[in-house]
Amino acid sequence: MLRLTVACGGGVVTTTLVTDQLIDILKKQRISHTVTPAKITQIANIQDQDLIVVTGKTSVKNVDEIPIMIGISLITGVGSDAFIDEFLKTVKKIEEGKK
Amino acid sequence: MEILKTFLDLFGATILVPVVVFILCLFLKVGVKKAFRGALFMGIGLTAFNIILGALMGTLGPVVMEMVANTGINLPVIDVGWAPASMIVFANKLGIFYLVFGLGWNLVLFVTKVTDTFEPTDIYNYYQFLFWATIVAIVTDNFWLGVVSCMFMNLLQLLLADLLAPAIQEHYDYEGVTCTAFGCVQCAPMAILVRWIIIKLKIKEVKLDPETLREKFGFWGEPVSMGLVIGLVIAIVAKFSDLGIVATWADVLKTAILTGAIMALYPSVSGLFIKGLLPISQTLNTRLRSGEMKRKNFNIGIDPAVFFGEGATLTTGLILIPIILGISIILPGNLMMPLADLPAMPFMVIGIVTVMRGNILNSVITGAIWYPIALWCNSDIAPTFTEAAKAVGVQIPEGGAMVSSFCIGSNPILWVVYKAWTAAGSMQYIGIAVTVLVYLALLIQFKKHRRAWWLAAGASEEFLDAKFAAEKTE
Repeated sequence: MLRLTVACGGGVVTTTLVTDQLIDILKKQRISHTVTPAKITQIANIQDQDLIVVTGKTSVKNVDEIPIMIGISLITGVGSDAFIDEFLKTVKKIEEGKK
Repeated sequence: MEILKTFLDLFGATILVPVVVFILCLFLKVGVKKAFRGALFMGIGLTAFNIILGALMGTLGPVVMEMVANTGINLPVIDVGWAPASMIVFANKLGIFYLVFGLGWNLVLFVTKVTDTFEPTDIYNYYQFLFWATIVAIVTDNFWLGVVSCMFMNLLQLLLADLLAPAIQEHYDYEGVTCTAFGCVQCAPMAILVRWIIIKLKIKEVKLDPETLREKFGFWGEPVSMGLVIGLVIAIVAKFSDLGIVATWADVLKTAILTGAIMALYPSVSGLFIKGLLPISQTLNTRLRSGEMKRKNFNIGIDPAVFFGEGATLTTGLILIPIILGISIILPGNLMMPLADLPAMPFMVIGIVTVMRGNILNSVITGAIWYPIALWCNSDIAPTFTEAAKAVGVQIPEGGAMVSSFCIGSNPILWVVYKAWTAAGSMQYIGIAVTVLVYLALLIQFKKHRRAWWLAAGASEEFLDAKFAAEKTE
């Protein structure tokens, strides 16, 4: 089970946009998952999650060193294929690490 | 228009808004399944928000009025936040109408090159100026004047988006985008003025480190704990004379938990509402990128959430939260108590930080000058916006409590437009004429001296050279 947090400024608009796309991708790959929306200001202290995707650039780091990926390309459409490849690579690594 | 009104009276916004959005989606060739799902969630989001807002106003409203009665603190306007404000706006008939009409208006402006910004990709944020057009329509009791004022405010916002585009692209390092959220960029003209003074007086810029500052002010960005603390403080202040009684403390703690809960619930509930509009933005974005519309130099309007997390923006916003909260309490004549939109403060400094090129100290100073002025404007329009909220079924308890959004109602530029367009008697015509003439003068000035304006807005010579050199070779 992949525990994913998607975050943006207000935790609403771009978060929803990116969440919908990531769920589609994960479903296609048959990876079970939970997705939690969050605000950027919360991600520093988030715990018990495997991966955080932020919709815009940020330099915030997580206290538990949960990996943070920047998903701006899913919004603009520029370079989204490359992002999806890297996202799936990271997800697979996380899932293998759990076994 | 009568038909729209009859339908709205009969079915209510929770049915009509999704239906209009569904039809609009089909018209823009969004898939039927996607469009239906989106529209359905939109109706659910609207319904859920009415429930949450009812709970918030039902509990916090009386407490705030108690505070006003028992202490000298006169802050009866509750900041319900930008998300409910957007729903109140889109649920009013002007909002529904402009979703469709504004899309066409934006396309016309883009095709005729009045603007280089393609805004329909950010259709959700129409509400940021629709908010003001809605109250113009209420005060003048004239729907069509509301529509025209909205078209005008839209023009102002596109001018700002064109003006800021290169600086935004340079500072945030995103190619080809701009910010089309009025509440996020209305502070930019003030920043341009402050920066001009700083350059003229040759004041040396002081650099602050965003990382250490962000850690210090981190608490202010935690919406849940902040909601809890603010609810607690308001309730304690309101019931100060009865604090010896155990029952009072039960009320105090309940209020605190409720405000915390509201902050926690907002993102998920507003996320539902957004789902109806996202397919429109997405489809238009893909079609633009695929080159369906041929145009060399253009900017795509994008939701401001992608600018929020940038170091200087986030830090400036976090530092300003306690400053503005403090000012709101002591500022004479202010009626607004910032609450739900406090965590949104970084949104409200995007225009400033862009112009200041990420200088935190200058940005904080500009924000601390601008937002007290903005609080007065917000206090002035809160009674009218409360009427707009009541019109779409938001339950507001008797006793004088009012609602507004700190982020969307704190907009001195649109306040001036609103005042001019709703002035009494013949002053109204003069007001409308003057605002339109000022806009035209600014537009011509900007079109003639683009480069100088782009530089004033924070872009660098090198960036502009590189941007336009790249376009020539294409």
